[in-house]
Amino acid sequence: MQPFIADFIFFVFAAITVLGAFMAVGLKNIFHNALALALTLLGTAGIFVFLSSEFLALMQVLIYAGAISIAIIFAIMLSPPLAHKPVKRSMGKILISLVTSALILCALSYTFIKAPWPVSAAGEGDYSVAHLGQVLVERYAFAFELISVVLLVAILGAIVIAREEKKNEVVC
Amino acid sequence: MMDLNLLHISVWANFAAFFLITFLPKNRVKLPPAVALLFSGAGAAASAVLLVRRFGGEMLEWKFPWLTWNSAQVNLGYYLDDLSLVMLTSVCLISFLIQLYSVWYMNEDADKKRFFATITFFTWAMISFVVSVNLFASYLFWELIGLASYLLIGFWHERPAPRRAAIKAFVMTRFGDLGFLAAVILLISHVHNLDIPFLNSQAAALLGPGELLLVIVLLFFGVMGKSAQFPLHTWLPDAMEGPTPVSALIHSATMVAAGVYLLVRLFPMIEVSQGGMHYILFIGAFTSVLAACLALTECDMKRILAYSTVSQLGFMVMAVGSGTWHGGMFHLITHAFFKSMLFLLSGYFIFVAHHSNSIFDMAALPLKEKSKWMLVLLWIGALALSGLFPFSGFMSKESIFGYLLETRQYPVYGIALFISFLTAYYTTRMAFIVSKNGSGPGAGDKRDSPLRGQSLELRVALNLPVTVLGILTVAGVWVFLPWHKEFFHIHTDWHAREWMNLGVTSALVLAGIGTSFFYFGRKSFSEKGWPALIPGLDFLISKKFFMDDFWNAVMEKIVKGFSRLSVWSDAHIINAAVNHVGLACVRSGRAVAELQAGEVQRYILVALLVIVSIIFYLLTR
Amino acid sequence: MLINQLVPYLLLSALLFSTGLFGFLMRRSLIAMLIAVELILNAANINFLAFNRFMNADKSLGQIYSIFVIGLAAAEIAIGLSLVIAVYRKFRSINVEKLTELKG
Repeated sequence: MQPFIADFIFFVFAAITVLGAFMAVGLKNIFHNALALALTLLGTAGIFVFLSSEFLALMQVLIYAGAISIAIIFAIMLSPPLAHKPVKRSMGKILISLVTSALILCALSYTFIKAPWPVSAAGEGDYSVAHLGQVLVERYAFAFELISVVLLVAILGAIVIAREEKKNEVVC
Repeated sequence: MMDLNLLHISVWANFAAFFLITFLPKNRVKLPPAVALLFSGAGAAASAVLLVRRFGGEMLEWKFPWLTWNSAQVNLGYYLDDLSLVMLTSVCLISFLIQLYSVWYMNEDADKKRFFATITFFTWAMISFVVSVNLFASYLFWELIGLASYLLIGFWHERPAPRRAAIKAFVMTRFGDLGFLAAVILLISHVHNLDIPFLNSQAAALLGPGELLLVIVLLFFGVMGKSAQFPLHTWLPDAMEGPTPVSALIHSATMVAAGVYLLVRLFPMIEVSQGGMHYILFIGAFTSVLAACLALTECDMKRILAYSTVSQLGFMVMAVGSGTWHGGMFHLITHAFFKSMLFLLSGYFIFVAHHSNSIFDMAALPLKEKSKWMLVLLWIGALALSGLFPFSGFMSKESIFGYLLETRQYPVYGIALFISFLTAYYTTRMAFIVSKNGSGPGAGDKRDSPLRGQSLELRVALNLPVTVLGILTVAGVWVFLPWHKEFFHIHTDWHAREWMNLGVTSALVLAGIGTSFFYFGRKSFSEKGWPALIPGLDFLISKKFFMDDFWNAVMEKIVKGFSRLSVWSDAHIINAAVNHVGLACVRSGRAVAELQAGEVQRYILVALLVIVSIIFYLLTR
Repeated sequence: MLINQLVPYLLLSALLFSTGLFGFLMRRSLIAMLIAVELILNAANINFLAFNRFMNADKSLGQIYSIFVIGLAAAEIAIGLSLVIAVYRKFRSINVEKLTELKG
């Protein structure tokens, strides 16, 4: 692939990501926000490909764009529309949030640009899914089990919390 | 060492008396006078011995540091040179005699304990003021004198008039004291050392001419209050409401003398400022003439004496202002003796006239038969006050006249002559009228003495002080003349100018006496004399030149204005400050409570801002 | 060559992070805030993988971190959404400015 074309594609994906992020935050309709979030996640998946993590890009599309954003859209659509009526935004709040996040952006960019990154081991390496799976169940087996338990507990907890309370029944 | 001990005795004797009397049981009515006499007699004796031993010698300075702040230091102690020695002795002596007289005068009063305690306290404060080495300590004693005079003038506080007089005296003198205090503060901030010898030698050089003038004007403000100078003179005639011994004490040795003494004490410093001297001279002369005019038609014996005191004090201040502190001081001393005698006599005459102060009530009494000796003394005092040869008043006035002539201050000389004429006139008017020897109750009955039924001690207590003072008035000056002529700068080698001066002054005094005789000495006498013939003058005098009204108006304006200001400042400054402190607390609480409004996003925002500031701190470090 | 440098990825993630932060601070709706949190997590993921690509010898480590982050994000969104539903039931609103029960 020509470097120029690769750069251009990278730029397109980055633009999709950032634009989606802006829309996810800035649009007034919550449904549009959720859709824009899915767009951002897809864009991010593209960035992951550029970072040589094809597996992660796949996971991103499957879990994030496929499951999480769909879950959010479900939640939005299942809850009464009254809750999602766009509220008026206060200018002061927008301004101070903008200033704060801009300050953080400046600080981060400054650090990223100025810092002397010791770029070593750049490029080649074993990105294969086989290696990844091996490491995951050998070296990081405990963390793997832990995250599984966390997911299980989260699902159970979500059910318990979201369940409609019946009267005179103690809910733990 | 011996001298220091004597000084201790003469200063602290009266305080010891005050202290002891305070703790005496209330039912022992004879004890307070005894204690007071014993101690102040000891003090007077000690001071007399001191005078004999030390006069003309070197000065005695004894002090120890009391307060120190920054570079300024205040010492306590004695400063005894010839000036304070003379003053000390006369104060001790006169106050002792007056206390002796008080035994007679206060015989029937129920509250002797309070009287003698206060009068000894008064004397102590005055003596301490006289010998104090430091101007700051002087100021403290000056205030104590004011306090004691307030207590004594208002001694009969059951009656409204003495109460009012006491408050008036206190407020008026306090008004002047503010000036003194300001001067003390000014001096301590610029000179840092308030020792009187230091002030006299160095202060004028350390202060600029403007500052010096300011200090003198402020100091003189205090003098105006204490020595009853225009325009603060109105308290003194009203102070007659106090017991007569108190009047005698206030008018001679203490209180009013304090002001003139202060001027003389600081004379070397004051002398440097020409403007200050002129100011003092002018106020003194004006006061003197004004008070003499007020005395012209007065009928109240004590008030006549009070106005004459104001006039004579003005005369002394004028003398000091013209440059002769010796003359002023000399007149202060001689005046103290004969004025206290006159007051004591007035107490006697008022007693005889059944507690009437009016000289016409006294004129109705057969005094020539009953109280011949008192009348003689009255005439001695009156002639001394007039300044007739050979009484002490003549000497001191002559000293002032001589100086004025010598330094060619002819306008002042003329004013002094005029005052002298008026003084002779109103004093002898009083004497002529009192000695009219009318045919009042008891006339012709030789056995009916005014002092009937009074014991021997009481008669001694009455007669001894006035007699001693009378003898001192006639002979004292001449006995001591060779001894103190150096100190008072008295000339003994007389030339034509002195003789001329003697002739002019004597002629004027005699003219005054003659005028007085013309109006009051003969069988048919008028009440007011020639001032009644001058249109307007009588009216002005009867209104006291509107000075009382002036002060009433001023006080009204000042006090009410100040009260209004206080009310306003209380409401708008003090109260508002308190309110705003409270409100500020509430508001800042509300403002901080905003952070705890329960809004998650606000918490996060604050946390983020903190993080941002930390990041920026780290980045810019 | 943008794609073979570290900094462009980092800047992209910084932008994404700031945008998420802005949304988190600004939006009133709880669901919108959850969306903003997802953006922040994505920014983190980009960072993980970028550092993995350019600065790490063992290329599996950053990927595993990213997998865990995705897993946690899934758990978070499940719990978050159920909480939103519970909150809506209780307060009849998911406007975060009205949820001030715990204020001091």
